[in-house]
Amino acid sequence: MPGILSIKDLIVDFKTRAGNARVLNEITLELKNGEILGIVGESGCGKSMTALSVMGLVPSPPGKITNGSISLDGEDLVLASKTRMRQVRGGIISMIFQEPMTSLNPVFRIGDQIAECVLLHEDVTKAAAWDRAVEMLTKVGIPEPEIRARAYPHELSGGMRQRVMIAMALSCRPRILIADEPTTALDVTVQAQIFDLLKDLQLETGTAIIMITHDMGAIAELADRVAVMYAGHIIETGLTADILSNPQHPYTRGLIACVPHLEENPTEERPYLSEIKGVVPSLTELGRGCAFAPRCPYKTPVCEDVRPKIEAINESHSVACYNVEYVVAV
Amino acid sequence: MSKEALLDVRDLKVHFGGKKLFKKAVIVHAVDGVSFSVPKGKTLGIVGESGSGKTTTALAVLRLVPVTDGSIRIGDVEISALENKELRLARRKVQMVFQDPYSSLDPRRRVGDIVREPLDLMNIGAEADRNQMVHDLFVQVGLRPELAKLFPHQFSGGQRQRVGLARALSTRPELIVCDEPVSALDVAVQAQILNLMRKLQEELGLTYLFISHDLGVVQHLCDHVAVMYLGQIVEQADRISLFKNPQHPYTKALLAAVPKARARDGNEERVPLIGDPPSPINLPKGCRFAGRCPVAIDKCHSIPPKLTDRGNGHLASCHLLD
Repeated sequence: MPGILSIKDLIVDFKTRAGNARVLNEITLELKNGEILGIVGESGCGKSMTALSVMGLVPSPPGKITNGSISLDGEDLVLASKTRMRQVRGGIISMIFQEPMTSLNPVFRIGDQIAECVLLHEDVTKAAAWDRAVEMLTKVGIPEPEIRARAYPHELSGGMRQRVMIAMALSCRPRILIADEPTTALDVTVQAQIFDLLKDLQLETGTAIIMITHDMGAIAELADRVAVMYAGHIIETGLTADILSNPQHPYTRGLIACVPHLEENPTEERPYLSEIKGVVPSLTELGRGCAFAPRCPYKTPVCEDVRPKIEAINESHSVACYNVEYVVAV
Repeated sequence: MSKEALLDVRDLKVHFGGKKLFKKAVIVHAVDGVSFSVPKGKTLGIVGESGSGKTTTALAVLRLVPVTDGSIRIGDVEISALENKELRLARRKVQMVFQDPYSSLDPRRRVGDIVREPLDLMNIGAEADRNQMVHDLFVQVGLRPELAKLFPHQFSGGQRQRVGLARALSTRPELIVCDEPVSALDVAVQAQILNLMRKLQEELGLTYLFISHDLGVVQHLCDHVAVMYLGQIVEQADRISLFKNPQHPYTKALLAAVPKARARDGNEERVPLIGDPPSPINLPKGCRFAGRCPVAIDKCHSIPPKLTDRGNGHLASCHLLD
């Protein structure tokens, strides 16, 4: 399948008082048509910044894209004009955010907010835009859509608001949807509803989805492929099943092992959780070597000296680590 | 279990609101008849969706919200009726760790002073020894003692939660109420804090009341689990029995909704819960879960089920189990 979006060698720098922080460091990613790509990592690893770069929303200053390209069907979005980006955002690439309450305007009816997006991008009448809004609300499973379209955001529950955000994001039939932690603020039962909705809509419309999360469970549930990020680098990518059952990078392994997973058959035995020692390094103080080296139990002298490049170990799985064979054998 | 229980709560009710001038009385039944007990040195987990009343239950145990009805006994002391000085004295034995380590520490005070404050307030130890006690508390929670001079904003989320734990431990409590202590933390940090909590429990014989919405974490940490829905406990059992053999349809749905961190084997079919919980103001007449329950029968909509023992102390309230 051809790639619809390809990010190549992207570098984003932030000027801070403590010095230059390289929040994204030579990110290379490819999103294929109609797939769900997951990006996982801890706070500050650059997963949201990757999304903002694609949307052309890197806060500038202090942020700046200093290298690389983001190509949407061959068009480089890094070089695109502000007017062009306004067409792209919402029209071709849409985004939904973590906190649906703060992303909706509290003083407008939700139907009007969805219709606004349609009016901006398509040459339609107000009535047609309103009808589209109601149609989208129906599609995302909101009961009594004609009545709910006239509701204000505060009248809806958290799960309903996130459905409205999804309806808005999909109202102009975008080709790419970026979901930045779409269920973190929601209860598990509502989270399951939203996952099912995203999957159904993805099958129906063929929209490619970039799913940003810190939750490996959400990845397992939704994503076809995963990219794992650490301190501004992509350290491992591969098919979801491969990453979960056969993680190669020590960080990915730590990330999967440190979460207490819900067991269907719990036993009396409860070992302590495995920990990744230490803390995420400050982006202004990254050394020359692998960003994970200070916390890595398998590090060798070369790890602290030269940063490993991300290299393919088979046709779908790539890792940035010198010691893969040794790590996997342990 | 209730004999050697450190914390024993009977029929706890917390209602908010009441008569308003020119308006009809609106009463929010946040906690509506909850009973549980926690044996010394053990952990009881309370799980449920937002709005189920789990946080209000936790706050009521510390008398941080007005208790409408019911009894709360910690050790030999019935604390639901205490006032002022006696209440303050009783609170020495029970401390709280909050969800958000960013907003539960005073940004204008040095963390050493934050940890020391309860010692001064409760007059614990000789004044000259208190700095040494703070030093020891820092070591206990895995922080370098020289960090005591810094302010909260200079710490990471995990370190701040360690400060919150040190503050809770300062009065040498027997019971610590933890309200979602790890849900604001990154997964790698979450593992560090959970391990620390277990270590402290083993060393100091602490008893935890652990509030969480994360079933994986609860399964890992807790000895007993209570599932709350709309102000009531719908199921309560020991850890193994609850997760291996859930009885209540709500518990089953909750467990099924948790994403599994492994590749799906394709034929797993889960029945999604539809809709949201009803409002705690106008409560349904029968079972509170009936409106969302996939297996509800007529009776469920008219008669509220009782929380009864289904064998070996596994409690569940559902007509279909009768």
